[in-house]
Amino acid sequence: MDGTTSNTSEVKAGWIRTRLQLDPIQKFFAGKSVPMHRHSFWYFFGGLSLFFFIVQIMTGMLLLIYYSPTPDAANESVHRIVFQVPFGWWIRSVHSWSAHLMVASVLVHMASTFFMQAYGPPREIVWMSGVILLFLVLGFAFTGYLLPWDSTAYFATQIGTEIPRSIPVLGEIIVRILRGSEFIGQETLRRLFALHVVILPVAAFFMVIFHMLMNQLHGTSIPPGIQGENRSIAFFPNYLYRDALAWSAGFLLLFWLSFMYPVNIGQKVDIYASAPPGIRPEWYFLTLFQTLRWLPGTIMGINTELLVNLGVGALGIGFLALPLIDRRSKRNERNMFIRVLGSIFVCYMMISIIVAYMTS
Amino acid sequence: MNDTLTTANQFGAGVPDFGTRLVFFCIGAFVVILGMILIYFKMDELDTAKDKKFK
Repeated sequence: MDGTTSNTSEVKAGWIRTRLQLDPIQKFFAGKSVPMHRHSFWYFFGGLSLFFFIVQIMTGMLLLIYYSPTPDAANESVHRIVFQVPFGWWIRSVHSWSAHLMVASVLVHMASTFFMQAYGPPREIVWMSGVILLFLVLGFAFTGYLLPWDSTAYFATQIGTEIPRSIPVLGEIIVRILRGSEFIGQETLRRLFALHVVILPVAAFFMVIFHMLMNQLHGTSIPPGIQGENRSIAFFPNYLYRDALAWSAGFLLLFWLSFMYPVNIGQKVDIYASAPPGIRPEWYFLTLFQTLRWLPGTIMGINTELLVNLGVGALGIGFLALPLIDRRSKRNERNMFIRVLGSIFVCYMMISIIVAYMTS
Repeated sequence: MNDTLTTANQFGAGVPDFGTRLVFFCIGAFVVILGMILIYFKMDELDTAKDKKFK
């Protein structure tokens, strides 16, 4: 490159930097460093979750062009996407597979943050916003499931929306809010569609920005016990290149799954027909599903669904308030009790998912 | 995958057969891997520059 071209490029870059006031932004991002140690690999899953979220937004916008959210037209519109729209099958496949990968990477990111005790001071709010994002991601998965309006989606949603009914006082109201009427129909589809394409994406967008901003302010944590063995690299641009490599690997995996295992589309649901056999939710809800299958209908005279609902609620609140509960993390000490509890939960999740797949 | 899915009726519309999908994947994978190699070299260049600076 000769000097004139270089000067012209620099002038153009300078013009853009001045107009967009990029210097303070660059300074803000340059302030963050990422510790490099034997557990640094797990840091990639935060960036990967963001990557799959972006893929979801982009492919979702493309699907939205052709999708019709009414019981009469929903299934036909998905058939049109798959069979008539050029590469519509692939976009739908990428959307579906990236949803699975997003849930998986969010769960791994949460688990690594949990086991590295990265929720300690001053990162309590970063953890809490992350837990809220996990709930939002599961909300995305639940609301998107009904949209193809086929038998599996319809009856699985019917079972899913029935679960909160056992909660005293609030149960009926929650079911009514989710369904829009007593049974799953046009109102339910419209509600879940609105949640899936507007309400949850807007909430998730602002929560992601907040989560990243807080992470930028407080920096990446170093797990207790390995403070002495780490070195740091600048997040911008050094670590960003490593993140780009992880994103590319995620993209490659997404390519493989979406091309080699295109997502199927069922026939339009007949709401008067009986539910097809072997209906089960997606893998991330299988722990809840299998727990309900394992337990008897009532325990000491109390409805099991109510007990499971209360258990899930308590677990969610406990998970959210973990930085306040774990006193050792405040002193930056390892908490073996929390780690063992977490390990038991992860093992239980994996066993219940495997058993549910093998027996349903 | 359901066999009824593989009924491509024009280029790109309808799920193509396994061979065509494999070709699509290979083209996509080639571009992504090429990008990864470029990113790796740039990353290495930056890291080396940083090490030199600290020496």
